[in-house]
Amino acid sequence: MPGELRQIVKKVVRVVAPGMLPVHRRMPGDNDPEPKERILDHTVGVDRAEYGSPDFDSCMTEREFTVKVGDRTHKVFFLVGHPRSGTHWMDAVLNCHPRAMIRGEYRFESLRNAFDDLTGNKWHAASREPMRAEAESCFAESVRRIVAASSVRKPGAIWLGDRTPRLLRVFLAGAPHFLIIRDPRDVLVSLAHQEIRNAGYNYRTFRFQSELGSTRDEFLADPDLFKKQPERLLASERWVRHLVRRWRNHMRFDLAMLKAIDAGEVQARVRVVRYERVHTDPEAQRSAMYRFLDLNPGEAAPLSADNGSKPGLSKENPHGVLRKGAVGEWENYFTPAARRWFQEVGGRTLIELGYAKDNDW
Amino acid sequence: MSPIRRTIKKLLGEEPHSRATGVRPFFVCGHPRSGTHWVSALLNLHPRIYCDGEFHFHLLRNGMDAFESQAWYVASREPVRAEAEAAFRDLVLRCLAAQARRPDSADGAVGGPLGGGKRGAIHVGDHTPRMLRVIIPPPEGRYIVIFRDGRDVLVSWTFHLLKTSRPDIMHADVRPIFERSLAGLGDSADSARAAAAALLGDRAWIEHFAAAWSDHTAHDLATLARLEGEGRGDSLLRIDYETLHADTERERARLYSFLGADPSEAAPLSRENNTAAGFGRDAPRAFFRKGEVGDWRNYLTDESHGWFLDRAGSSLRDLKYDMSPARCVPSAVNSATVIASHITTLKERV
Repeated sequence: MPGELRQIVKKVVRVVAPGMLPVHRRMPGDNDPEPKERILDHTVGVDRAEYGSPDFDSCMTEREFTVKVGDRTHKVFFLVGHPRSGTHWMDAVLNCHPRAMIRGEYRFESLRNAFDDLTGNKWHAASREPMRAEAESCFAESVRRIVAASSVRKPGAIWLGDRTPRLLRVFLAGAPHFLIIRDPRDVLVSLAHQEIRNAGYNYRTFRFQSELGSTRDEFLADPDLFKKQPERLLASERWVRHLVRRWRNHMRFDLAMLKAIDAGEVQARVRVVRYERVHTDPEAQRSAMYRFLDLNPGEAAPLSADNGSKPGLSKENPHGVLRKGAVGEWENYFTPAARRWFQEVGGRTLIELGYAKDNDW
Repeated sequence: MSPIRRTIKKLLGEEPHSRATGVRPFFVCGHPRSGTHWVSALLNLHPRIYCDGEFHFHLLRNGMDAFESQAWYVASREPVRAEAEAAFRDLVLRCLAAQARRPDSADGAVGGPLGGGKRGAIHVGDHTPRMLRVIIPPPEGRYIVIFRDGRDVLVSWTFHLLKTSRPDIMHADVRPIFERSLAGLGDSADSARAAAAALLGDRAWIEHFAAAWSDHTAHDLATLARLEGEGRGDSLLRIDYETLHADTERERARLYSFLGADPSEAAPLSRENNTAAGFGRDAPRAFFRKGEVGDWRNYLTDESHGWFLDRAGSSLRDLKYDMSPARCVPSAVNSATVIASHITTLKERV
C-alpha cells in the first residue's frame, strides 16, 4: 500500500541514513560512527543478483508501472545507484536494446520529498482521506506520464527508464529496478575528480573551498594534475571522511531497502548490477539485465566504444563526465592515511558488500 | 498548463475548468492570522463555492521547481516539462475535487474539517495561509489575497503560538523567550493574556515577527503588481481585513462576484459559524480569539510600536495604514478610496 510504503521509507531514511536527508530533515546522529550490525544476512557481500518477488501483486498486474501513449503501451523501470557508480555506462548498455529506452536523469526524489511534505503533516488537507489516496494515485500517475513523455524518441521501446544516481526508493509499486554497486574506493576517486572539477554539491555545500580551492585551481589549469601527484586527490581528512560518510549512508539505505523489498514490505523487483562483474564479463551481465526486463538478448546491438557501452574508455579524460571507467584504480590514489580514514568511516559497509574481507587493506 | 495547450483550449472555446474534475480552482492566500479562515467561511456561505482545508500546494510547487531546475534534468526540457506541469495541475485539481466531493461524516456535519464536502460546489478552493504564488496559472486559477494590519497580526499570532505551544518549530532568535513564556503559562485566559503581554514587550520577539510579516507583505504586493502587469488582474482579488470588517456584506459580494457566483444565493452572515465581523468575545485560548481591528493598541507601547515600525514600517506604509504612535486615537484607514489609489500606484510601478 502506498501509505505503508511511505512509512517504511521514512523509517528507513531516519534510522539508517539520516545523512541522506535534506538538511532541514536531518535527525540527530548524522555523524554517528558506522553501525556494527550487518544489514543483510548474507555471509559474503551482496551475493544475490535479484531481490523481491515477481509474484507480488503489483509485479504481476504491472498496472502501477504501465502507461499508454496513443495506441502504444509502455512499461517503466528505474536505474539507480550512488553517483559515479556507472549509471551512465549502464544507461548505454541498456540502450543497445531496441525495446528499451533510458535517457537522462528525472530526479523524482525531489518531487517525492515535496509530496511527502504535502501529505505528511496532520493539519495538511492531503494527509486525510480521501484526499491522501487521491494524491498518492496522482503522484504515481505523474511519474508514469512524465517518463512516457519521452517515448516519442524511440517509439519501438517497450521499456522506458529513468537513470538517476539516487537512493533505491520505490516510486512505482512493482516496477523493476537496477541497482548498480561499485567498489566505493573507485567511486571515491571518481567522485573526488568530478566534485573538484565542477565545484560540485559536496564541495560547495560543505564548504571545502578553503581546503581544496588552490588544488582546484591547479586541476582546472592542468587536467593531469592528479595523475602526476595522485596523493593530492584525497589529501584532506575532512574531505575523505565526508565523501565516505555520504557513500556509507547511501549504501546502508539501499541495503535496508533491499531487505525490505525481499521481505515483501515494499513491492518491487531489484537486480543488483556489480560494476566490476560487468567490466569482466559484459556480455553475460548485459544478457541477464535484458532478461530481467523479459527482453531477448539476441535483439541487442553489439557493445560499442562509440556509444559508451563498452567497458572502460580508450583514453582518460580527467575533466570529463566519463573519465576513465577503470576497475581498481583507487590503489593509485589512496595514501595510508586515506585508507585509515576510509576504514574508520565506512570499513564495515565495504566488508558487507564483499569488497574486502577485513580492514587490513 | 503550457501556452500551447491554453491556446488550443481558447480556440476550442472550452471553459477554463477541468473536464475531469468539474471544479474551477481558487486559492486564498495571506499571512497567517490575517483572516484567511474568515474569508474561507464567508465563501462557504455560498452553495456553489467550497473552500476548506490547508493543502500547502506550494510545497509541491517547490518540488516541481527543483525537478525542473537543472539543465541536465530531463524535466527541464520539452516535451517532458509540459507533461510534468500538466500532471502537477491535475494533482492539484483532483485533490481539491476529492475534498469537495468527499462524503458527509457519520454525524451528518457538512463543511469544515469534521464534515463532508459540498457536492454542488463548482468553485473549489484552498485556504493555506502562505505567500502568493501561482499554483495553477490564471485564468484557470483564481487568487484571493488578504492583507491585515501587521500589528494586529502580531498580536493574534502571539496568542495563537501560545495556544499551540510548539517551541520546537520556533526560530532560534525567539525560542528562548517563548520557552520562558510557556513555562509560566497557566490554563486561564488571564494567564494567556499575561504571557502574550510579556512576549509583546520583548524587542527580539517583535522585531522577528515584524520582519517576517513585512517580507511576506512586500512579496505579495510585488507579486500582485507583477501579475497585474502581465494582464492577469481579472484573476486576482485583493481583500483588506479592516475593510471586510467595516462592510462585510459589500466585501463578501465582491468575493462571490469575483468567482462568478451570484451573491444573492449566499446564506446570511451569522455569529454561530464565525462569518459575522468579530467574534463578540475575547477568548485568548481559542483559534477564533477576538477578530477585532486595532486590538494591537491594547498591547503595544510607544516603545514597542517603534520596534515594529523599524522592521515593518515600509510595508505598513505601502498598505496605507495609520502609523501614529500607539497611544493615539487612530484615524480611519483603508477606505475604498485608499485601496483604489494603492492599486493604481502598483500598476504605475509596473
